[in-house]
Parts: sequence; C-alpha cells; structure tokens
Amino acid sequence: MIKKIFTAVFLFLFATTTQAEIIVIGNLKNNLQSLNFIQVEDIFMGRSRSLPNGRIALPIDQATLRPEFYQKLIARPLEQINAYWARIMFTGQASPPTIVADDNAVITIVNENKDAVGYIDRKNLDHRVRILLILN
Amino acid sequence: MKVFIGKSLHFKIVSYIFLAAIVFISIATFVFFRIEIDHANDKARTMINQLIDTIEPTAQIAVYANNSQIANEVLEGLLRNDVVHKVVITGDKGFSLEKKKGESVKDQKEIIRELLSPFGDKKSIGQLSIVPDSDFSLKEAQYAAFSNALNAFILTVLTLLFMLAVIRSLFSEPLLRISNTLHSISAGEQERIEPLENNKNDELGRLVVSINKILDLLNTKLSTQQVLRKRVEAAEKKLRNIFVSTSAGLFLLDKDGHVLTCTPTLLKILGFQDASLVSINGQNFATLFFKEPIQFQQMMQNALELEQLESQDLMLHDSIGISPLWAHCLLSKIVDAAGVIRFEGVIFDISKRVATEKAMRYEANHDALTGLLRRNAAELQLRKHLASENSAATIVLLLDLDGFKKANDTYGHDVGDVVLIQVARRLEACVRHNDIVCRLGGDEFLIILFNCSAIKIGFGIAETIIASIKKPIESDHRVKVSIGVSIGIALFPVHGDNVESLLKSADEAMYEVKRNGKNGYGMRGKSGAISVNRPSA
Repeated sequence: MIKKIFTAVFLFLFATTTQAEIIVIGNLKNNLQSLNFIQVEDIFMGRSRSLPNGRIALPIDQATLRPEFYQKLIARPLEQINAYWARIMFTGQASPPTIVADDNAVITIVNENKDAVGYIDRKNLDHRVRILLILN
Repeated sequence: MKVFIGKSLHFKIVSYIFLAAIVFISIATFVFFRIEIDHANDKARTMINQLIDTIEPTAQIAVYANNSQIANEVLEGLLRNDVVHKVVITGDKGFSLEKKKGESVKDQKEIIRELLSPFGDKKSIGQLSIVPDSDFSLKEAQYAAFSNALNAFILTVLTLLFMLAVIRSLFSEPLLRISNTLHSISAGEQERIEPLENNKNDELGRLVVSINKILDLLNTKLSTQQVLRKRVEAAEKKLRNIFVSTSAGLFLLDKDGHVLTCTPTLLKILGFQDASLVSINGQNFATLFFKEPIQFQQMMQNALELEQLESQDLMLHDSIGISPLWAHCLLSKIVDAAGVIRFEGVIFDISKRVATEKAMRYEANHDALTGLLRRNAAELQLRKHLASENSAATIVLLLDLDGFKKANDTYGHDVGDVVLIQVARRLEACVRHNDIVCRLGGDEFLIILFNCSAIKIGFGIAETIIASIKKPIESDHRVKVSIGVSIGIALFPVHGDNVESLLKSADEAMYEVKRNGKNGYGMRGKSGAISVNRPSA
C-alpha cells in the first residue's frame, strides 16, 4: 500500500518535471517576427493558408511532440485532431501539415524553407531558427 | 333534411341534434385547426433544432475549414427533411452558402444557430440558419384537424343512429300507440288505453294513467250533460211551442225601429201567407206594415221618452182591399245590461172587432130602410158644424111628405117602404155632394146645406126637391104613387143660433106650408111672418 502511494507521488513529480516547453519557430530569412496563439492554430489546423505577412505558410508537424503541442495549442486530444483531418482530407480540398520525426528534422526543414513554421522543445533551440511563439 | 323533418318525432329530434352537431363540429374543427397549426409550427422548430444538433459538428468543421464540400453535404442533408425549406450557412471569414427547395407559401421565422469553433473555447465562427417549410406545418395541422373532424363526425353519426333507435323504441312508438288508441276512442265510450309494458313507471306510463282518468271523468260528465241537455231541450221545445203558436205577434226592434226578430204569428197577422218563407229582419217596421207609419213612430217616441207601455189600434198597409185590417199594438222600451235600447212589442189582430164595431156604429147612425143618417147622428153633425169656424151660411130644410100616409094605407107598407127609399135617393140626388140628408122618422126628413153663400141656393134646392118628389114613384107592383113635400127652411144664424131653435123655426115654417096648401116651401121673414112659396101652384 505504502509502495503504491510512493509510486503515484513519484509518477506525478516526474510527469511535471518532464513537461517540455514548446516553442513555435520560423525561418530567419522571413521577416515574420512573431505569431499569436490564434494565428498558429489557424495555420496548423488548415484554417488559414497564409502567414500574417501574406506569404503561403508551410506548417511542419512532428511525431515526438505532437500530442503535447495540440494539447497546449487547442486543448484537444490527438484523436480528435486526426478525425478532423480525416474528414477534411476526404473532400480532397486540403491536407494536414507534413509530419517529420523530431526536433532536429523540424529545425532542418524550417532552416531550409523560408515560409516553414514548426515547433520544437525549447531545450533543442539553436541559432538557425527564430522563435515566433512560446506555448505554455 | 326536409325529408326527415316532419316525418315523426324521433326523426325530428335526431335531425335537429345532427344539425347542431355539424355546427359544433365545424366550430371545433376550426378552433382545433388554429391550435394545431401553432402546435405544428412548434413541432417543426423542435425538429429543426434536433436536426441542427445532429449536423452541428460537421457544420462547425465546414465553416472552420472554409470547406464548401462539407458545407454542401450538410445543406443537402438538411434539405432532405420535409420540415426544412431553406438553409443558409455563413462563416466569419466570408464563407457563405445557401440552398432552398420549392416555394414557401408564407414567411416563416428562420431558426439561427451560432456555429462555434470545434477547437476554440466557445468562439463563434459563423452561423447556420434554417427556414421551416410552412407547407409542412399546414399539412400537419390540416391532417390533424381533418382526422379530428372525421372522428367526431363518425362518433356523432353512430351516436345519433343509436339515439334514433332508442328514442323510437322508448318514446315515439309508445306515444304513437297511445295516440292511435286515443284517436279511435269516441267521446263517452268505455274503451281505455292499455298500460305500456316498457314504460310502466316513467312519464309515458303516468301519461297513460292520467289519460285514462280523464276519459273516466269525461264519461261521467258526458252522461250528466246528456241528461241535462235533454231537460233543456224539452224546456226549450215547450217555450218554442208557446212562441210559435201564440196568437199574439211578438216582435223586437232596435232603437231605430228595425226588426230584430219576430214570431211567425206576427207575419200571419201582418198578412204574409207563408210566414216561414219571409224574413223581415233589418227592415223598418213602421213603414213596412202600417198605413200611417207616423203613428207607430210617435208610439216609439212616446215609449222612448215617457218610458211607459204604449198601446194603440193601427191600420195596416195592405188593407185597402175588401175589409180593412186592424191591429192592436203594445210597445215598450227595454234596456239590456249593456245599455242597448230596444223596443219590444205585441200585435193582436183586431180587424174583426174593428169591422164589427164599425158596422154597429153604422147601424146606430143610419136608418135601416133608407140608409140615411138618423136624427141623433144628423143633429150631432149639425151641432158640431155650428160650433166650428165655417158655420156661417148654413141652411136647414125640414121636409114632410104630403100624401104618404094615404099611399101607405092604400097600397100597404111594402109600397110605403119603396116610396121612402125612392124619396131618399131623390133627395140625395137633389143636394150637393157635401150636404147631409137625414130621415128624422116616419115621412119626415132633414136636409142640412153647408156654405150657402146666398139664400137663393137654399130656395133653388127646395124647388128642385119639390119638383123631384112630385114625379110619380113606381113600385114593384106596377103601382104609381104620387106624393108631394112641404119644406120649412131655417137660416143660421138668422133663425136660431143653435140646433133646437133652428129646427123649431123650420118646423114652424113647414107647418105653415102645410096649412097653405102643401107642396111648397116656407121661411120666416124679417117681419116675423112666414112667407110660403108654392112653385107648382
């Protein structure tokens, strides 16, 4: 019994301490300095195809932080997001953002594409990309 | 409906109820329709809201993603429902799509639902608006109202048919039986209505008992009345016999003298042969029957004013015939309870009595042999005349036959009588129409000459008489008798101012003539001496 309580407390502490700080990043060459929550949501949910400066956005999803990102951005479970995209894709009018493996892959694509917008864990941030929004 | 009404009571009742039911059902259906159309509208809104609930997430996604394909599917899906007429979906990023079907009869209030973002926290991203189909509500309401009306109608008709049967068997048929029985019962018969088996204790049963009681009562009363009526009839017959057979003619007149009623006897008295064929009602009694209507009218006037029984002998109209008809009439005024004035009267036939009286009077006043006035009657007339205003210039001639006694003694009384009759006729022929010739008795005569303006007229008549009497008189026995006459004349008022003195003077003059040779006339002169004139001498 005591062991069970201990385990629960441990798990709780671990979960809070392992919460990553997710940041939305963009290409340095793009003159876009920052985005707000709504702009990020619109771009990633396919509501808006363009960036606030008028350029066509290229949202990049990643497998590692994906559940956490959508939870923080629009407070919905991943299943709901997938269902949403499934319905949109069925019409053939739009498609969900491209999914890459992890933070490094995201940084690489963002660095290479001027209109790309991605998200990564803050601890993996480097000088090749610009912070557009900090999700917390 | 006219076919039913008037046939019989139960049809009438049911027809009226049916008419009333039709009216009530119509009103109820109309009201129900109004309520039902509101209800159908509510129902339509509820259905539409439920439909929106069903497609809301899809619509949210369509608007959220500006996806016209999904939106189109949503709209088409919604329009497949009868209750939906028009759907509009709009998004806040300028997205808009509209679809509708058919023509809506009238404007319906649209139902608007705000579409929230499927991900954001209650953030509106657009709206969905649906216009309900008014035909749907109308049809719903119409159907409900119609089925309700049909339901009511069928129930009413069934109930009425049942009622018809019940009223017929419980009410109409027993009543008809009673009616038929009553119809066949004549007054005074012993027959009664049979008690109704099914209605012993209800109103109809009591009606039968009551009717039977009334029939009993009627029976008793009728027999009593029959006895009474026979008595009255007998009494009336007696009275009628008296009325019809009475010898007095009874009559009743109104105030103006028109006949109201009269007895047959009256008509017989008044000269109608067949009294039963004549009706004189309404005619003026006085002018109809009496020779002098004014006399009867005077009687009426007197009866009216003096309020006493008037009686008078009256001569009837049609009596210008053989013997005059006379009637004795009694007349009196009567006033009935209502204040109407009438006259009642009795008429007796007195013609015979009057005729007898007249004959007797004639006999008393006239000489039986010659038919001339008797002395008393002549003196009475002279006295009356002298007392009247035109008494002047009246001449009295007193005559005595000369040689009559001798002729009487020689030839007998029969010849004497013939002579007297002949003399009377001759004397009448000698005087004027108005003058009076009278036999004083035996062979003495008196002649009164009225209005002789001159004494010469008297002398002339005297001479004519002397000449006339002198002619021989033939009797039946072929005997010629010659006689003469001596005349004494007296003049009123010279020789007397009354009958006695006049006759006395004439008598004296006549004797003077006798003394001076008879067959002449004489009169006292102014000196007092009597001058005698004998024209034939």
